[in-house]
Amino acid sequence: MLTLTLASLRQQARRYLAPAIAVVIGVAFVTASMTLTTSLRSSTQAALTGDLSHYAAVVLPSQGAPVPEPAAQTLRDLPGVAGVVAHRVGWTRFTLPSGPRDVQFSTPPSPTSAARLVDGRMPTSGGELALSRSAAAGSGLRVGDTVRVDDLTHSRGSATAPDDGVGSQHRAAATVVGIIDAAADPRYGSTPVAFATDADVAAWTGEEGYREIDVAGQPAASAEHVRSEVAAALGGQAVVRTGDEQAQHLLAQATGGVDLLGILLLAFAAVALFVSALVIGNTFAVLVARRRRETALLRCVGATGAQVRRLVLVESCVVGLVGALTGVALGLGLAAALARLANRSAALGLPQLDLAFDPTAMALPAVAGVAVTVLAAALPVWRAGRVAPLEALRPALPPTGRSRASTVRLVVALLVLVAGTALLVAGPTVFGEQDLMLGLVVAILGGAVSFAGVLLLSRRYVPALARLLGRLASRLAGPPGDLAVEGAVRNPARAAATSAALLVGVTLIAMMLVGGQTASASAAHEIDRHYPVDVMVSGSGASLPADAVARLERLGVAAATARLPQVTAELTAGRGAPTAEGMPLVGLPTDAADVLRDPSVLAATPGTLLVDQQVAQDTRLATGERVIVKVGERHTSLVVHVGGRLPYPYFATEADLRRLAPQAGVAQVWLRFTEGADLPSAMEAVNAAAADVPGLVVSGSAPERAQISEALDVALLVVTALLGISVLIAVVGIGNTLSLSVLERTHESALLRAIGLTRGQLRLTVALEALLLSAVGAIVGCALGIGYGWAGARALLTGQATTLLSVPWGRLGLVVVVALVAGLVASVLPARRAAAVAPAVALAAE
Amino acid sequence: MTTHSTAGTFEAAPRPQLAPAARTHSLTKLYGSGPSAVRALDDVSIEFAVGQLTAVMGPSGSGKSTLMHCLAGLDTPTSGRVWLGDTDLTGLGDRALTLLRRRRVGFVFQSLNLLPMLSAQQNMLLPLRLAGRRPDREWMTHVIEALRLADRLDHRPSELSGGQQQRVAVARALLTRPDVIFADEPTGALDSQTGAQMLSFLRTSVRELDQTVVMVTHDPRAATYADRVVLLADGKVAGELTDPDPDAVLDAMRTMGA
Ligand SMILES: Nc1ncnc2c1ncn2[C@@H]1O[C@H](COP(=O)(O)OP(=O)(O)O)[C@@H](O)[C@H]1O
Ligand SMILES: [Mg+2]
Repeated sequence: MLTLTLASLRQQARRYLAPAIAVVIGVAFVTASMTLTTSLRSSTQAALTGDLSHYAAVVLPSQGAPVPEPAAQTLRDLPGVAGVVAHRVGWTRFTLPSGPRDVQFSTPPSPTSAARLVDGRMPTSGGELALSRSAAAGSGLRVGDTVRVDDLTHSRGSATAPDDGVGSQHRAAATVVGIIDAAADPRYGSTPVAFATDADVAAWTGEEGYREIDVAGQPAASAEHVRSEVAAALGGQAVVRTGDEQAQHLLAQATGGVDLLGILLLAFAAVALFVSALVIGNTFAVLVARRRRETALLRCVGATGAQVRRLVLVESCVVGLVGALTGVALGLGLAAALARLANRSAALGLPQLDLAFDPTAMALPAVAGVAVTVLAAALPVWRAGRVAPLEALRPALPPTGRSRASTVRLVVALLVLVAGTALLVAGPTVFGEQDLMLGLVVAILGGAVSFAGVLLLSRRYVPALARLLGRLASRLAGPPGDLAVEGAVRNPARAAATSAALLVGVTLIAMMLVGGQTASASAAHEIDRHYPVDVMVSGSGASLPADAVARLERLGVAAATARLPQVTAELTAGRGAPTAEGMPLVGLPTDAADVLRDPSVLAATPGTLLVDQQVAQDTRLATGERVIVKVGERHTSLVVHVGGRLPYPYFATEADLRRLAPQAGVAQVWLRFTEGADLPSAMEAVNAAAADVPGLVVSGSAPERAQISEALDVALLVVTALLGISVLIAVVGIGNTLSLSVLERTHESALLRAIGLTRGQLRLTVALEALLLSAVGAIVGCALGIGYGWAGARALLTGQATTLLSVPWGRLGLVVVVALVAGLVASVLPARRAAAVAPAVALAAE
Repeated sequence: MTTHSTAGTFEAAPRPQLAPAARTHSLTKLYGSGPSAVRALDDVSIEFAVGQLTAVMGPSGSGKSTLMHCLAGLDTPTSGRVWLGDTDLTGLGDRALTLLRRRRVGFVFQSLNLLPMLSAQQNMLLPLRLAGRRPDREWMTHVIEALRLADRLDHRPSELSGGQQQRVAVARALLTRPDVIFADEPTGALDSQTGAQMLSFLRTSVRELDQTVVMVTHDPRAATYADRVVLLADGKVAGELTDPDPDAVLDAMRTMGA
């Protein structure tokens, strides 16, 4: 039997190339995605948790109050403790030639930190500073420079950034002695930080405790032992965790407890494997069908059904194994190449990716590849065992029409389809209102079930649609069109499986495109509401210099500008004491609507006072309430209108404001960028225009806005690219089926050539067959994708804005074109092989 | 039979009796190269007259199929020349040969003559469809009647008997009214009774439908339906018989050692 297997494998090597390629690509993708996921996870972990796992225990503030100062010494004296690094962190100000600048101060990084000294040395005594790279870049300070630092010992007590207008009487001089690259330590990241001795940080920032104390344990003591010792010593004054616990805590915080990236990549890997399974199963089915005569002959000379099955099974195992091993190797190479690419382009904003070779990321795909191959081959293998010896002598019969089994199949498929669709549609409506996640899960489940129904039905509609499209083909191409249709639909199961493989990928891509566009179209309003103003330029003083205003208004990137006056007002609700004093009140000119992305956010009507939601809550103001607004000696009564999240606490119409302060100047200029303006250069232009005037502050939400849409775009691009892999596998499947069909029909091709089909027409026939199958997959996939995309967006946006179906026709068209071109490419080799058949030889061979 | 009375309607313009339907001059075909090359045809010069049923006979491996393939433009000779009517086939490219086969040649093979996914009628009309020509309705009815296929038109090949399949193949060959119909062992896969029917259909095509048929066979009985028998041995013409009877054919075959 082994000799037979080997002989068969050798003889069929070319045929097995097809399923092997499907296995290789599928396994390669799974390997690459698993390797990248593990690498990304460990890189992210390192970036998020830094050196925490070096420490036995970490002491953290409890309820926002810093860890009390004596704790550091208490811990040092504990028997299980080898050493302690206490981090004191606070804010103060540099006085620079360009003006004051807020800066975070910290004690020097721990010895285990990833932060590295790049110039000079660490501060060791009072009056010495080391700057993080970002702090050095922002302040323009270098090693050797001296800078004046505000000493806030007597004026502040908490670790928040200093408010404007807080007076600072004392100043100290400090010398910069070193520059530190601190970005790799998550404690600092890209925040500008100045490092100084503990005493200086305490003195200058007024910070009376520690933000974090890292405790190194004695080598003999377990982390948990040290942790409990530390916890007992501090007695509830602080939170104490082991280093690993804290690392996990930070990770969970950053990822929301969900390994979203891993789930996504594995989901795509599963899709790729599923499509591979379809392709592999189909390829084996064709192979077995092709070998019916041969198998029957084996049965004639005495092979049992079991022997025949074993033969094919061993073959599928060998193909699976060879394919899987090649796939793992290819996948690792792919992962390495991608990691390199990702590290080179920082656009994705991912942390530095160090490839981690995880044995599971290699073993699992390999096993899955072999298993999928064997499973996918199982049905055809079982069929092979059923081939009757007599079939060697009988002409091949075409598949018969409707059997009882196919009716049962139809009913089951329809039931599955209906049930799935019902879940998909009802999920968000029934469950989504209370629990978005539950609604989403039910919808996803429903989507998967209904898609299974669609796949089960494919034997019915794929041939029917191929015939329908075939009419167009025969009108355009004549007899080759007819022949292509007949070839495509001859075996409905084969046609269905071939086109279903493509269907999966196209459906998912179309779903992401439609879902993405629908969700963002529906969410555009939300985004506009959250980020109403692109750029706000405000000064520290009461009004902006006229030339600065003119410069800003002349910027080419601004589609609209508005000048806003601002005064400091006092509010009194009812008769009581003032509700708020010294609060900035901004006047909205009539043309403010032009600069706002969503004018309804800041729509003040005459006589009303628009109040930020949070401020209203804090000051207990409610819509409809009357308040007295006082500016200097003048006052007026306005009706409160509580708005949403506003850029400033209080707004009134410019007219109302001017009644209170007729002389109020232009305090702010707001800009709205032209659509499609390049954001970095636009922001640069604004900053340049504002740079000449000291104290001008540029703020606004254009960067956030751009970041959100860019993030969406990148995510969509990555997802599409990943799903593209499944399309690639499907195309390999089309190529497989075609080349096997071509082999199967060698005699027919010869006959056609003999009675007058030209070589070109034969090639065209094969190409049209590929086009028909891919067109059916692509068109049905797009149609389904639109449905699923809409349903998905609807489930995501439950309880928010109504879902407006928005179909990116251009991109969908591109998907169809790509699928068709891919199908065409897949047909090139089979077509060439078909056309190479010499009619005389093939006919004589019969 | 109605075919008798209407046969004249379909007679083509009288062809000069001297111009053969197909002929070869010094036709040689080698398979392979060097000393191991097989000389399938060796310097064969032969003519096939219009309106005749010629049987090419000979033992297995004598070069019958090769001769037919060269005559029909399915294969190109190693040396020598081949004419179909007055068209010199030597030197024609693949496309020209294909178009020539489509328009001027009909084929009947031993088996698997039909495309399994097409109905009998679609199979019959395929060469015309490939050429973009409309079938001559009257001629088509006539051929279908003569071959008794009227009630089988919508059947797939798998639903037809072997004899019916061969008749569909003959109908396909006849519908284009080709210059020559080539049949390679057309009865090879049929039982003797169906085979005899097949042969009489071929003879009817020649006598009543004014066709020219070249048939390859190694069945001596088949030869009795022919106007002329060409004997082939070792790639050479070994003799010929006109209006042969079975005994004469058997004798001739025996002398050749078949
Ligand atoms: N494609 C081919 N390649 C090599 N040899 C061939 C090929 N076709 C035919 N032959 C050889 O040419 C000779 C004549 O073959 P053929 O014309 O098929 O004979 P017949 O039809 O009379 O049985 C035989 O010896 C055969 O082996
Ligand atoms: Mg032969």
